[in-house]
Order: sequence, then C-alpha cells, then structure tokens
Amino acid sequence: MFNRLKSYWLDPEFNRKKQFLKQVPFFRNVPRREFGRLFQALAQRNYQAGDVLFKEGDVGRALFILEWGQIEIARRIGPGKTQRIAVLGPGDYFGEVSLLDDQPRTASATALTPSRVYLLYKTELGTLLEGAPHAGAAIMAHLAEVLAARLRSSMNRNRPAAAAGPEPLMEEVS
Amino acid sequence: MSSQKAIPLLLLAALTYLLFQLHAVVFPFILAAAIAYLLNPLVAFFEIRGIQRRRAVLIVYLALICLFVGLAYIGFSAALQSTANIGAELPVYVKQARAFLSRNIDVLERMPLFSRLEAGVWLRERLGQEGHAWMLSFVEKIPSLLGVHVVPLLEMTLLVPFLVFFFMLDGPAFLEELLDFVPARYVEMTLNILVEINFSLGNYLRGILLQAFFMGLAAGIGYGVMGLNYTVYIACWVALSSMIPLLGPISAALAGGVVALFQWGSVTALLKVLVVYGMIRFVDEWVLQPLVLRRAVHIHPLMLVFTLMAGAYLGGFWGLLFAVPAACMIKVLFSVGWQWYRTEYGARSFNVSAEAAQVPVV
Repeated sequence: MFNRLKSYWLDPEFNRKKQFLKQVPFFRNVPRREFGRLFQALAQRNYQAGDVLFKEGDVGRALFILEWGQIEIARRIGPGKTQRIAVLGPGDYFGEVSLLDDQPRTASATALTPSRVYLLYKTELGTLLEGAPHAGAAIMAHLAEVLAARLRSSMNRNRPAAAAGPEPLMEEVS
Repeated sequence: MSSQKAIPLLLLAALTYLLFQLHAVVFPFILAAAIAYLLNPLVAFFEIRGIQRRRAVLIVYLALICLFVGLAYIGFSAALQSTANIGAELPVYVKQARAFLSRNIDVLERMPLFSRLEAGVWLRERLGQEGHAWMLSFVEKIPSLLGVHVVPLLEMTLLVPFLVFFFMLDGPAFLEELLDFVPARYVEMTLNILVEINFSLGNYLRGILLQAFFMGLAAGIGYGVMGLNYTVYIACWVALSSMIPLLGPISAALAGGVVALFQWGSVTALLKVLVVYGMIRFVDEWVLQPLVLRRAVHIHPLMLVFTLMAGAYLGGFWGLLFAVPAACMIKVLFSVGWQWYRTEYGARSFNVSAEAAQVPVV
C-alpha cells in the first residue's frame, strides 16, 4: 500500500538521474538531499550522430555530462586536418573550464552515436552555490582538484624527460 | 546579407508584427505564462523532493484555486456591501466635498496662480446646482462603468487559470523542446539567453511581488489604525500600483487622500493619510528595495517613462503592469547579445587569467 502510494507520487526519473549523477566524479560529493536542486540546474539535450556540440574556438559557457552515447573530442592540427584526442562514453564530462571563464574552446566535440547530454551553465552554478551551497561547494572543490592535477601534469611535461611523470591520457577541453 | 541570415530575420519580423496585431488575443497567454512562471518555484519545491511534476502541479494548482475562491468570495461579499454603502454614502460625501470646497475657495482665490487661472470662478460654477447634478449623475453611471470592465475581467478569470494549468504542467517540456529544436552548436548560446533572462527577470518579478505584498500589508495596517473607509480596497490598490513605477505611487497616494478628504472633510485628515503613505514609501525605498531588488535589472528613468507610455498605448492598464517586466526582458536580451558578441569576437579580455599566468606555480 505504502509502496503504491510512493510510486504514485514519486518521480521514477528522479532516482534514475540520481543514480547516474552519483557516478560522475563532479557530483560524487554532492549531499543526497541537494540532488533535487542540482537537477533543477541541469538542462538536458539529445544529440544525433554527427551533431557538432561545439567547435574549437567557440566561446564555452557550459559543462557537458554524457549520460549515454559517444562523443569525440578532436583538435585542429593543420589546415583541414584534425586529431582525435579522446572518445568519451557514459559518465564522462567535458568543457568544465567554461564554468570559470568565457574563453574559446580548445577542441571540438562531435556526437559519434545518438547521445544524451546534461549541460550545467555557469550562471546556474552560481545559483546553485547560493541555493544549495554544499552541492555548489562540492562541484567547485572537484573542479579545483581537476585543474590542480592538470596544472601539475602540464608542468611535469615541460620538465626534462627524467623528471617528468606519466603522460596524461586525455588533454583538457576548456 | 545572405538569404540564410535574411530568412530567419524576416520570419522573426513577421512574427513580431503578427503578435503586435493580435496583442489583445495574445495577452491572456502572456499573462498565464507569467503567472505559471511565478508559480514555478512552488512546483519546484515539490520536484526537488522527488515528487512527479504532474502531481506537484496538481497540489499547487488545487491549493491556489482554493485560496483564490476563498479570497474571491470574501472580496465579492465585501464589494457588494461596499457598493451598497457607496450608494448611501456618496451623496453625503459629495455634500461634504462641496462644503469643504466652498469653505476653502477664498483661500484658493488668494493664491496668485489660481487667481490668474480664474479657478475660483470655475469652481463656483461647478459647486452650483449644475455641478451637483453632474456629480450625482456620475454616481449613477458607476454601475454601468463597472459593468464594462467586469465582463472582460470575468472572461479573463475563467480563461487565464485554464491556460496557467497547462503552462505549469508543460513549461519545462517546452524549454526542452526548444533546446532540441535549436541546432546542436547553438544550444549553449540559447541556454545562455534563457538562463540569463530567467535569472534577471526572476529576481525582478519576485522582488516586485514581495514589495507589493509589503506595501499592501503596511497600507492596510496604517489606514486600518486610522479608521479610513475602504481600507482593504485602498491597500489592494497600493499593492497593485506599487508594481507600476512613477504613476503607481501617485495614484496610490491620491486614492487614500481623496477617501480621507471625503470621509473627514478636512485637509488635516488628508495630510495624515499622505504622511502614513510617505512613511510606507520611505521604508520601501530605503529598506525594502535595496534588499529585494538588488539584483534586478535597472532601467534608466527616461526609458522607464517611454516603456510605461508604450505599455499603456498597447495594453491599457495591463500594458502598464507588464511594461517594465517586458522592458527588463528586452534589456537582458540586448545585454546577453552584446556579451555574446564581445566574447565571440575576442573583445573581452579576461584580466584575472592574464595576471594569474604570470605567477609561478608551486
């Protein structure tokens, strides 16, 4: 009886989204009670295979989180030539540096298969920081960790070979 | 300009022209969308707790219908009572006003401006039998004047709640469909515009509603303590008119002042009501507005006057009420467009990153 009543009122999508977003490193430390507010801040968009999400040089304004499908990240290496940097799958995210500044994207993103993506726009992150500060702080803390790790990795690459650490698997996409 | 760019622009211009021509028909939809937008935080309150949107909308809608019916019942009962009272009291008020003006007409005539305009002569003519007959005939016309406005109002009262329900139910779905409709590469730009409008307009609308509630409550308490007649109506008018810049406060002050003048027939009573209203405005301007409207869109006073005139021309009273929110939306659109242009073409420099790049990492 209670379960029937619960299923009548509760949104099944809510739990599904919650389970998925908990797997995304960006939202791993978001408190359970603030997931509802996080959903309000996210926009959802389905892409077809071949859709260009953004091109290198476009001004970035949102973080993309891939729920399902495959997205290719590629960079221009010469006139008419591009190099694939990575192929992202479910649970991966990209474009996170756009949450901090309005600088041009350093790579292009194209859907390889039909995909569903969540977008977190930076003004929404600001609103989240006020309305659900624990969630906002958890996201910002993870963003800071990611940037610090990439900075160190980048510094190691610029050092002499002996002192350098392992190469990163994927370059950042801002 | 290439045909690829010209066609969307022409379509947009045609749509704008069509909306302008049909503004009377479109108006209930705009009003319903605005109400649904204002109610969305209540629906979101349930949604963020995991309740299905349909159920959340049903809860909010039923609660509001109950509240609305309750208030309408109380309001109509009071209105019927007041109409009966007005019928009985107005001739007395007219008599009191005539007596008041007759007593003070000499004072007026001594004022240089009034004597030059021969205002005394004009007033004496109006205070004669002809003037009295005119005032009473105006009183007799009030029910038919009210009837002219009540019928469209009733139509709106039935139509708008119906539309509000569907806007509340499918609002986010409309946005998702809009995002799906936009070419993939321009999703970020569209989201940028939508979020910025939501942020600025939301702050503005929530701010003015809170301000209106405070103004109405304070006027109700203040005038109620003074024993002013029709306090509830005047308080409602104070609340509603506070949403209309410039003209709103003047009409609200006049409404209280005129009732005080007719009720007590003395300038002191009028001044007392104006002082109470002035105090409410002072608290509003210096305490409330800096708090509730601190992040709202600001519009230059000249632009505000133009906006109000255009609103009144296009939509009468409702046009006046919606003129400023519409202007806010247009300003946000321009501002987002300009920001987009600057960042897209590299005009904006991000100084913090340039400075930070000079600092060694340790």
